[in-house]
Amino acid sequence: MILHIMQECHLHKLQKGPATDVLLNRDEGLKFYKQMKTIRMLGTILFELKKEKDLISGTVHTQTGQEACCIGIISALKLDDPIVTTYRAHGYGYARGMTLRSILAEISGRTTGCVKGKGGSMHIAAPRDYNFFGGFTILGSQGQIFEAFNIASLWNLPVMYICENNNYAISTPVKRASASTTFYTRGDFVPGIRADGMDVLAVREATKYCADYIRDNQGPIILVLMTYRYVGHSVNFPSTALYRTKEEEDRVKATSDAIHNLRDKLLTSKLATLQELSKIDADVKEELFEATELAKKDPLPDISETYTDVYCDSSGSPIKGCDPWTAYIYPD
Amino acid sequence: MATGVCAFRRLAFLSTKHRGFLNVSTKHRSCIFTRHSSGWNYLPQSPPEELGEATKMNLFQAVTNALDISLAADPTTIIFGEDVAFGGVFRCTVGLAEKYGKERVFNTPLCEQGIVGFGIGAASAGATAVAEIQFADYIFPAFDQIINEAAKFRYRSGNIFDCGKLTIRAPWGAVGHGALYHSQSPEAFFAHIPGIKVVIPRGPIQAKGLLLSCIRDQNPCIFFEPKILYRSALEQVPIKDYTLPLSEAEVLVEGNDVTLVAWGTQVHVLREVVNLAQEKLGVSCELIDLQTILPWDIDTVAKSVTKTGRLLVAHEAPLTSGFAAEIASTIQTECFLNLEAPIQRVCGWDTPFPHIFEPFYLPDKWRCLDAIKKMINY
Repeated sequence: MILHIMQECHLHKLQKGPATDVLLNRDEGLKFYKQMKTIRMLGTILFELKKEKDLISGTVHTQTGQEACCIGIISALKLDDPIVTTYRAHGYGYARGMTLRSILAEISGRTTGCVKGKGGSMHIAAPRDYNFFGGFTILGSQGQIFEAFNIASLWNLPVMYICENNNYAISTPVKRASASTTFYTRGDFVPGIRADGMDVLAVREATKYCADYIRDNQGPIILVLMTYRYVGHSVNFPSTALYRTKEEEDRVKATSDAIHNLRDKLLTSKLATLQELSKIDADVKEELFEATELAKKDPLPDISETYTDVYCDSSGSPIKGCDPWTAYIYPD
Repeated sequence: MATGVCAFRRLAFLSTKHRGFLNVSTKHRSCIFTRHSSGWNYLPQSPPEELGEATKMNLFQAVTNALDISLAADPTTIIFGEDVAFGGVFRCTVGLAEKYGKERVFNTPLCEQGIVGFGIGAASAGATAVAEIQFADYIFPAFDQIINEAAKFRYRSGNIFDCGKLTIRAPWGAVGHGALYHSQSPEAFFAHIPGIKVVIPRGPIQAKGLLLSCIRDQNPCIFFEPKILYRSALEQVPIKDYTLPLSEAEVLVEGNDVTLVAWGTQVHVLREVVNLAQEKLGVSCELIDLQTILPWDIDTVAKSVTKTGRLLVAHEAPLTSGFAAEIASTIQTECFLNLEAPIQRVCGWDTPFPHIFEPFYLPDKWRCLDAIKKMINY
């Protein structure tokens, strides 16, 4: 089925943008719907789980509202394209093929977590052959991005720099912090593109376009996806009331929700029926419930995990314990 | 020498005002105020016989030799940093770009955070990455990359990913005229970071063996090279490929009364203190070169202090929160009942690294000798 994407992309140093008439088949449409629904519901569950005492230590950043970004991006890439993300990464891992249980178990710090409970919500990662390096640390904003653009351009590196622009740096609106908000142009000599991050097909097309550009050996490219976070920055900051209005949130939800957007397309084009979509909703709920229950029952890591993987071997000196008589030696 | 005299006069005023703090005896002033970091001589070491044929190298040539061996033995080795392709500002990479090609030995932009970030990526992807930071003083823009990425990547990913093939080299320490930003010894900052190793050689033989160990170690390593020794330290260095163990201190001089611990340049200062203490005080000192700052060899130091009952740690970096503090704390825990006197730290003063007052700032042999006196008379 050929569908028309409403918004044309903004381009920087590019002649022609991604296609606006795109192909969507039933299987892919249903897959996208299920994946986005899963991430949306995962977000809701995580906010609920946070209220349960001692289940989740630390914070969790959900992708509620931004689902189209990770799903559209991953669908347009090959498995051997490595991905490095920020801490808002559950959907990327899930779309790359990680199980919900390994993600939920990681968030609640269990041995069955994807990184043995050592990374937590912000630092999930998949086994090496998934080429998903996981959530990195963005600790403070850094001018480093411009150095990265510079070297990537000088060396013609095959890199796609993706910005999910959800309009807020925790609570600071983009306009208050950036003299230039057209981030897709900020690479100067690096071409850029701005696409609708609330439309999974637009994201898929834009990512495909950028990937083709890179595979054509043309060097780095910047992709900015305009999106919106429906909830607080993290479960520790659930409220958005101090920095934006409910009207603003309602307007985005009513006019450009990514899941409604796809749902309408699937129904009006008769690629799926209402019953089918309702069935998916129920399945997603069931799968998440099961994964959550399993993760909750999974064991916590042994205390020895505190001091393993610091160094690769036992060549280091012992790690000191809480008292002068205790020292931990790395296992050989 | 005019500057030296001038410095002397100003310092004479200072020392009257703060005599207790400075603790400089009149007798030794003329030695302290020489206008360079001398006051010690490099004593060449004989190469271990089992390592076979040796040839004369200074410290920078020993570094070049180690890098050469790594490039030849491991086709994934890459070397990069500011100006390394033309040989580096200290000549440590001379001839390597010509020999191995600009694909493997190449310049980067002036961007330390980028150099280390690139090194982390390259090492994660399987390359043996040797990054040069032009001066240890310039490493701070890369602090975040080293601490938050390099040191934690393995732990954070439950050992799925790591950048253990990364080694960061940087010229380090006082050089006689480096002033604030070409003289610092930042090892203590990095000693606070589980997940990395920090290594400092005292001469060419160690530089080659320890650097090759760092390059081959499967943990990210920082290798600080005492830049004053680049040319001044000259000795017979084995030409073959060899490594020296990390996290092992070396007892250079055995003794019974006081344990002296240092690393890098300061080892040579303390070597002279060993002789001075014997000659002037009749005190027998045991000298230990720590070599690896993190994870450090507690056993060797603790065993020595168990025997001597006294410990002096000296380093060029400022006293407060310097690595001597960690050693002192650990040793008082391990050897509390063996100690005959409070552990002495003889270090740089708590000031920025001074320009013309460098000789006054450095923990020279007279300050060290004075600390030994205090311990013996305690």
